[in-house]
Amino acid sequence: MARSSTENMITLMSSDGEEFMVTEKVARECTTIRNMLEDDCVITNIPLPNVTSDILSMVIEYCMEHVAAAEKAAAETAEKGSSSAPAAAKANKDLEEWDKAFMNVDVYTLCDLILAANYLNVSGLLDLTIQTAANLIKGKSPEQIRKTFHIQNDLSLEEEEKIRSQTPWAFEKSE
Amino acid sequence: MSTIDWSELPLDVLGYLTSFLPLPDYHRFGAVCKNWIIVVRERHHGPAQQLPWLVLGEDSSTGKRVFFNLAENKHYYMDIPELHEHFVCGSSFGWLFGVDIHMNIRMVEPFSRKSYNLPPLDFSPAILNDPDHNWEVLKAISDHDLCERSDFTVMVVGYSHKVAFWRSGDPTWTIPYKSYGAINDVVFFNGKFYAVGYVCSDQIFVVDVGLGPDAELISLDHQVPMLPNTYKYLAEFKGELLVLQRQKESGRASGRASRRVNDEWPCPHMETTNIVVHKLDLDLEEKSCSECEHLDNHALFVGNNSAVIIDPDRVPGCNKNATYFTHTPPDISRCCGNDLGIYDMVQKRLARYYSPEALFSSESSFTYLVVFPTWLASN
Repeated sequence: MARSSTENMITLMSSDGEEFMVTEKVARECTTIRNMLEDDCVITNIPLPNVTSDILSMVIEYCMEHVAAAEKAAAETAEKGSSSAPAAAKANKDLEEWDKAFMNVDVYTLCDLILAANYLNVSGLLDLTIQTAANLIKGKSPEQIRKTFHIQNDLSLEEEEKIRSQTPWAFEKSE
Repeated sequence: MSTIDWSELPLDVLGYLTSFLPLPDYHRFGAVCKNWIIVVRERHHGPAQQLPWLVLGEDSSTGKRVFFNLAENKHYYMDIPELHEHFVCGSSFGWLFGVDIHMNIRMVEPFSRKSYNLPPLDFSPAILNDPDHNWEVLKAISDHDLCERSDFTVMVVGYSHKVAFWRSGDPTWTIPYKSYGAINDVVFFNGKFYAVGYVCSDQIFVVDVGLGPDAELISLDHQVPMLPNTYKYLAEFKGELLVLQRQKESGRASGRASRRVNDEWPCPHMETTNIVVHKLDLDLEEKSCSECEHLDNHALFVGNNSAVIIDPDRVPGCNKNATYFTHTPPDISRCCGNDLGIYDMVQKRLARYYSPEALFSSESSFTYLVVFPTWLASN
């Protein structure tokens, strides 16, 4: 079970030129990178012109945490022959808590993380960030949503009236 | 600082975002800015699956139909002229069934306002051998979504607890031959309609509507231990037929009168005490059954709708191993709404999802007469 110290390392380069050394396993969490590695297995340096260093470091942090959690679960299963349900449930809960804390970001960062998760195709991170955005939308009026996400209202009064008149019930004030 | 604005996210990403939003939020999302409008208009993804809504009566001052959204704990008021002064008596696949006082019956999809008229339920009481009851409707369901298939069948349970069906293309409704016994519930399962008896009846029937006027209710030999004084329901769950028995407290009239809202009973006014669920094996000759101790973490919604199964892992706010029930009172003149609840099969506990205080509030302007709350599950 000795962990290979010769594990392949990959260098990811952000749009602003910063380099991040990660294990191949962590890099493979990004489906986009996994596909590149499968097409060309000797690749060791990957430029990511769409992702800034601060966002890339967050994506890597997310991937590392999830790889570590999966490895820990696999090791426990191997050790005991089968995973114990309470331990697995606790590990899941811990990871959920970690995800929740990880999502404690402003809406600008959230927007960038969604774009990066979409571009790098990290499905877990995309679902997490999109769910966070959906939770910020739920129960709000269009005006409150614009305020939350700093969106300019580019609709004329007529356009807005027309949209609302199609499903007026959805725009009633809360009871 | 971000280089891109939320309104400028790629349309496929925004579309994916809408798949996480329940219907009301989906519409509000689609009124934020031009790009977001496009996403909702092009309907890249439908809205998220959500808890069924409870359909109530009409608001007496505006004539709007009142819906209760459990997930938000909020009422919505919708102008649906197609259902105006109709009594909502069932639902299937997102369609509501509405009957007017002349026994005209129609199907209405409330969010798209599509509607479909069915032949009137013009049975004379004599045909039913039950002169005390007109053909009023306790329940109505269809076997398919009529958006998907033009050949579909509607089955109704009348107030006399008789059933009748109509197949698309038939000129009139058909009452199955040998329609003896009182029916409480019907379900479409594995290509056939099944029916279960009203309170005192222990029978389960199958009816092959493909036989048209020759269709009959055939009693199944089954080994489900039927409990006395229960309302019975049928539901499909993962390819199997479930028989649910909702038990009421015995001697409920005196029991109710002596109870106050603040008594220790967790659900004042509620008559239901528990729900027993059996799985019926139709493949075996002897039609054996087994009692279910849980619902594999799912939730069941039963009442005068086609029974609906919800996976709580996909629908936030939904209880696991729970049966959400509505109640149709035995007497049409009685105001309804007191016996609405959630029964947790594992904890063996009852809870409310809709407060009877809200329902009976004097400030409320609902017309509650002849309102049986109906589950509406979106497709």
